[in-house]
Amino acid sequence: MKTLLSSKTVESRRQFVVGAASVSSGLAIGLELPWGLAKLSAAPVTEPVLPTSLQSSHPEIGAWVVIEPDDRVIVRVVRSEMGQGTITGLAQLVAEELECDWSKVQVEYPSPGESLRRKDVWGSFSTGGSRGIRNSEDYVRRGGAVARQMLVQAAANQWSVSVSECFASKSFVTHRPSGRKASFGSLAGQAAKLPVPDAKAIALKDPKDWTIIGKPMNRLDSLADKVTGAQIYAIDLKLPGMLTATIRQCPVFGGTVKSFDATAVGGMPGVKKVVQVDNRSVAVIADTYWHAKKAIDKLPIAWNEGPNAKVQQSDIMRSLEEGLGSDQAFVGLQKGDPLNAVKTSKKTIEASYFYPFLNHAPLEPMNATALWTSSSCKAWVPTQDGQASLAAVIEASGLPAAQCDVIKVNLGGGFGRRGAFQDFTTQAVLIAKQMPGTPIKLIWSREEDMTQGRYHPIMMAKMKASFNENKELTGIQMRLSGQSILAAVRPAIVEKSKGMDPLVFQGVAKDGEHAISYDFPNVVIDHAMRNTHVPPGFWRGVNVNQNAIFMECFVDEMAEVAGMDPLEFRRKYSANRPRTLAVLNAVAERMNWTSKPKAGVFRGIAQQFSFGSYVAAGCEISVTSGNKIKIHRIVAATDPGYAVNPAQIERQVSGSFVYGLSALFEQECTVKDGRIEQTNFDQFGVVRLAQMPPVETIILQGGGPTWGGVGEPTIAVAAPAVLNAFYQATGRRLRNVPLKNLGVTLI
Amino acid sequence: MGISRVQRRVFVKNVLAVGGGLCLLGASRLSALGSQATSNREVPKAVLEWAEGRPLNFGRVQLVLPPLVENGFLVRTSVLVESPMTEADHVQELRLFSEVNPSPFIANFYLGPQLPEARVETRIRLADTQAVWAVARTNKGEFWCSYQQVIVTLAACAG
Repeated sequence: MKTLLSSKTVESRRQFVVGAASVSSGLAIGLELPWGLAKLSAAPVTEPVLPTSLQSSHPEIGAWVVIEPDDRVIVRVVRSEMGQGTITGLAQLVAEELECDWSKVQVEYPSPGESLRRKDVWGSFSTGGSRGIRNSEDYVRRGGAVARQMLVQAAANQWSVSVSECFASKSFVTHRPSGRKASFGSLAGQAAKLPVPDAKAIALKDPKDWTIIGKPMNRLDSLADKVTGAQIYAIDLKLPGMLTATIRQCPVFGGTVKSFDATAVGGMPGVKKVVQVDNRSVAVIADTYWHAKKAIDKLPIAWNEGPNAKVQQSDIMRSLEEGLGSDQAFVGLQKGDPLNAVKTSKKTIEASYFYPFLNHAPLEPMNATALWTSSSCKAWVPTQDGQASLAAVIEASGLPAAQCDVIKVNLGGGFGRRGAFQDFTTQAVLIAKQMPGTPIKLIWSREEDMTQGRYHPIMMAKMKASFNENKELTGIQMRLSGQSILAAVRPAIVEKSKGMDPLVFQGVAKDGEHAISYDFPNVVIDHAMRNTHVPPGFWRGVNVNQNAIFMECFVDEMAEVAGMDPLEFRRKYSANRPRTLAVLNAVAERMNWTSKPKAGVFRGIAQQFSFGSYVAAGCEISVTSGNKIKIHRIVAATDPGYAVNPAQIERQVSGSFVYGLSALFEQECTVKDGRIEQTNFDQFGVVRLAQMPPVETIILQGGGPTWGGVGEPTIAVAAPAVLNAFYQATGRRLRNVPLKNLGVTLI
Repeated sequence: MGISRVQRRVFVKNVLAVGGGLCLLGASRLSALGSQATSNREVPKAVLEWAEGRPLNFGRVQLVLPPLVENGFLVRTSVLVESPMTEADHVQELRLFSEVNPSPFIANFYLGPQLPEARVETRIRLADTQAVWAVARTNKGEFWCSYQQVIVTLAACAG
């Protein structure tokens, strides 16, 4: 019963089922989204129709698990799948405690509106910060355990025996003394009627007894559909009577709409309406995207660009350079007295680094579909945070929360653009509000997506180190100068920290999940906050991307002065950090670090602790003509504490290097006349298949009470490893990203 | 007692100037959502301090906020206190409190019998998921209160 959803079938399907057979087992694995599409029409919407399993006839065993009479197990997942495999990992966590047959597991997204109605029963929907697994592992496992306990109780009641004589395994409850068995499906109806036990009182399984967690289970979302193009992403969504809109926002951040002449395009083919969306954007609604796009390209719009139109990239660079030398900065980490260490040193070194603005540039540009009536509003959103989308819908619709909901639709990439920022959702609702009763799909053009982003912050660093007469490191100073994300996005956190952005120190912080992983003798790391008019955002890996380059490349510079091998230097200053040493050693061993590489091949290494995980990467490269880099292999070790699905972790690590190396070699966004210059992938390159080296992933499981993330930690370590290897090959330090500006390319 | 009309106008003007968008309005009908306060939640310290040991009564205060907000920058808030607003029986002061903002005391409003009803609308900022409290003090010295939970969704990769 393979279920495929293509654009041809979407309108006629009773249930909006996305997903298909898991590749090897042939089982139908659906991802059921709320509300039957058959009920949707251009007419005013009636009460929301709940997803199948949320209707009373389907036995819900606790909030997280539904078991159908045919034994299918439906696990609720609220984090968003965007290729990272989180729905599979989360389902494994629930299934482990449930003791169900994995081949019967499906997943579904509850709607954020349903969660709100049920007093936030499923917790945070936010899918970012590498938190999908690590922040919900405890309560979703308990969700599985609660359901198991209810099923076992139902069986014991049915047989009039003691619960202690019964146990669950592979979707059956067995009465040990008599050998009687009952399937989960047969017990579900009775189990659903039992009181839900206290989740916190249930003891979870010892990791050594896990049989589903830690195994490379096949993904529950369909790889086949992605390969064949059958998967429906939000941009592909089609609803009966739907119209398509596209938008033009003031190209200068902070600017507004002065005027526009709708009559100039009103007669163009397919155009239905030209609307002002808010004070900074205008949209054209048409029958198709192409007609909307043609019209908006022709639409005369005058902007009040404001003072930001005078801002040039050179102004921003000057501001950051000034910050490098400023005597005022927020101190993130201080130990000892590095300034005094410089005074008494025999030798000092200094180096400045630069990391640019970056766009998330997901393959699918921003989009959302909304249907507004005077009594309800619903939106179909490719979102990293269903709750944030719903909050945006509530605000933009002007309707009470109970009359709003969001349906999560597959994302064509997220990378941090689609979580904290719901500008596209708000716009879709504001547009739909101007055509009540008609579903409107808003699609941004690629150009709009590139120029209206929430950019990786621009940052410079000045690194200084001092050494004594024995070439031993005596002190290190790291001055960051550049934009704060939190000052713009979460000012409450900055306010709480007395003006400092604690997130800017990710990877070199004094403590926490982004703590520095070296014990240097005297150290100060501070930040001169230099904000720009360009809106910043969380870009996969966030501030670890630049901090890893600044610190890990400079560690190699320091190792050279100290006359030490880069690996030995790292080991020396992380000697008391066993898990950092473990990932470094794992990489070194796999690469046979102490052996001499083949002629013409050079090695580099880097490590990082971020998002609660320990990671290291080593690479082997060769360089031709002094500027063409071939990466032969990358070896990466990662220790997130616990590996829920090792196959998925390997894919995540490889994928993160594609993203990280693309940024290193090809990508930057620059400002001209207050606007972003890069408008498409011809100016914002991506590493191609032929350029991508093989990645060997080593997974370590250090255990411990806190779990680490997977999606982001490794993204930052490939770049410094490559830069360090480049120096070994050429004697040239590359300190400015992207490398294309230095004439260096990846082949 | 109550504040004279002139004094109140001066106050409103000042609030507008300082708060930038903070305002008093005769609002449209309050929605039925929200303000089901019960006493099973710990009362914030700032509320207790204001009451100075006098009893806090739950009820009479209808507090309406969206139950879910994207980032807490701007949260529409309205409060209606059941009161005849006569010289003999009226709400004198209304305060909003936060459970987790860096500054727990969000806003106060001085009301009086000149107003037909004890109703305010404003916009507040919330640092994180929490309950917001609205507390009214009458001319008789009674305190009436209510709270409402608001989920502030977390920024993607922030701590």
